[in-house]
Amino acid sequence: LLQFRTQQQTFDMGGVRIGGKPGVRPAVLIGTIFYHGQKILIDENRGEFRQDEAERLIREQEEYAEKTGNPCMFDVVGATPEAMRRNLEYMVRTTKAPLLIDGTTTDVRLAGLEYVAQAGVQNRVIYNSIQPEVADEELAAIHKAGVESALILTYYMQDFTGTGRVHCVKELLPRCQQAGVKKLMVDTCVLDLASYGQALSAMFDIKDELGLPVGGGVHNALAMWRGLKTKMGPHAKDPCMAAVVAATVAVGADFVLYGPVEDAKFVFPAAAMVDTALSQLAMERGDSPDDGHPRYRVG
Amino acid sequence: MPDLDKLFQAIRTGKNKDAVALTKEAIDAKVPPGDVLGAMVRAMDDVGQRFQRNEAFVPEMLIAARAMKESMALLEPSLVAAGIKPLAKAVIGTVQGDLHDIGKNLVAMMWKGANFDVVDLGTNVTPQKFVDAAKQHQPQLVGLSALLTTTMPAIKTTVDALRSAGVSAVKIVIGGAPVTQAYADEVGADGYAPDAASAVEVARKLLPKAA
Repeated sequence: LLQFRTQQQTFDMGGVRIGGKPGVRPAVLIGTIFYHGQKILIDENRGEFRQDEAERLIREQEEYAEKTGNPCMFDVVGATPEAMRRNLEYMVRTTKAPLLIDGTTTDVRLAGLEYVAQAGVQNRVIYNSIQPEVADEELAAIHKAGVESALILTYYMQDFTGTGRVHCVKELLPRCQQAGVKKLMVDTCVLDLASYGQALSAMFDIKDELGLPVGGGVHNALAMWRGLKTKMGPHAKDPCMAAVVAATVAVGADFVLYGPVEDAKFVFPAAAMVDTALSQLAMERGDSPDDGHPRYRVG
Repeated sequence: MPDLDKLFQAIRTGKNKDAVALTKEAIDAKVPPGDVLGAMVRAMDDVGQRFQRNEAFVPEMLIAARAMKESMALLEPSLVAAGIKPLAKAVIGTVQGDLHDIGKNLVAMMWKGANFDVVDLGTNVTPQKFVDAAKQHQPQLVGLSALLTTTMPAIKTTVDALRSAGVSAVKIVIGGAPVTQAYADEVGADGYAPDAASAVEVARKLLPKAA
């Protein structure tokens, strides 16, 4: 179970180490903040939000990370260039955790790059995301900003299968390297419940073949599940959220983009539980779980 | 005589290699190309209907569309030789400022699956580019997609640009996460499609000759 032919790569991204053998290094859990529709937003286009509530959510994720041993990052969304700059500026001064620049359009992401270059915080951020159809100009902007960490999203319409996703990463790797991106994490692209299965399969295959850190935006599996609320009832979402995270960690994911940061309270215990179980496998194979692993904290 | 039901099943289940082989078999056996095409379109309709009933998922639509695309490439010369043309021409794109293309791509695939000739302008398409494409390709249908509330206003700008450019005979269908029927009415679009499968139904209603 969960043994790979290729040596696993690990990267330090903004002070958080990601990648490696399952059971040795716990999954990094990434909550999204300032997403469209989030209650803390006052004016999402201008980057205005309730700071007290934003800080409460940030601290809550950090506390769960501390309590469980699963490191955390924040996926920072911006609706406009102005909002991205303001959201990032706030996050940089409010948390020490790594930040993903998650603009919904290229101009928003580029504004994020400009901000981090000006603020000199390139080492704290991860560009989210590089996709198969990324333009050379966007890669040049990443290079110019000096950002060395990025997430590849395997949104590969030409061959939307598990193996297609592996092929997609292989195609993008040389372009990422040319753009100075040295540290990569691969999101295997979850669009709905069924594609979540493909994404899980691709996570194993990419680790097996390329050794890169893998994970996914598993929240999409639930967000696109129309019957979750209408057929299963209002109480089904939270346990399913925990389950989808647990299943992802169980197949060896190195990170989980779990969606709204408000779900930290369901997500961290679920991931820590599975990481603890996997740590026993690692130990039986002669590997030692990292200091601070959930194994040593959750009991 | 090749069994077109097998071709229907191969496309419906996204078995692209089987679909291509069965298409070749049908062409070699001189099955009327219109009948072969009919089996393919029925397969895509089936996928679309199952998607609407929440019985099929996005990957199934994508692999079925791939099987149809590969089979169509083989069938195309026979259709041309038989004088069988696409039922309608459509231009589609994601509006200016928006780079999201999942929904737009699904609609384009389903329209192709319904035997429409689809010109895909991609993402972040300016109103002028839509106008230029409408003049160049003379479509009966234009599809506009936006995923974000921040880019949704570009739908109205594009509809206005198309109307004022004198391509008012074109039927405009809009869609995307924040888009509603009420918004479609407000901006003067001819149709609203809540999902890719509905986009085929809406198009067929707007263009009776394509039904």
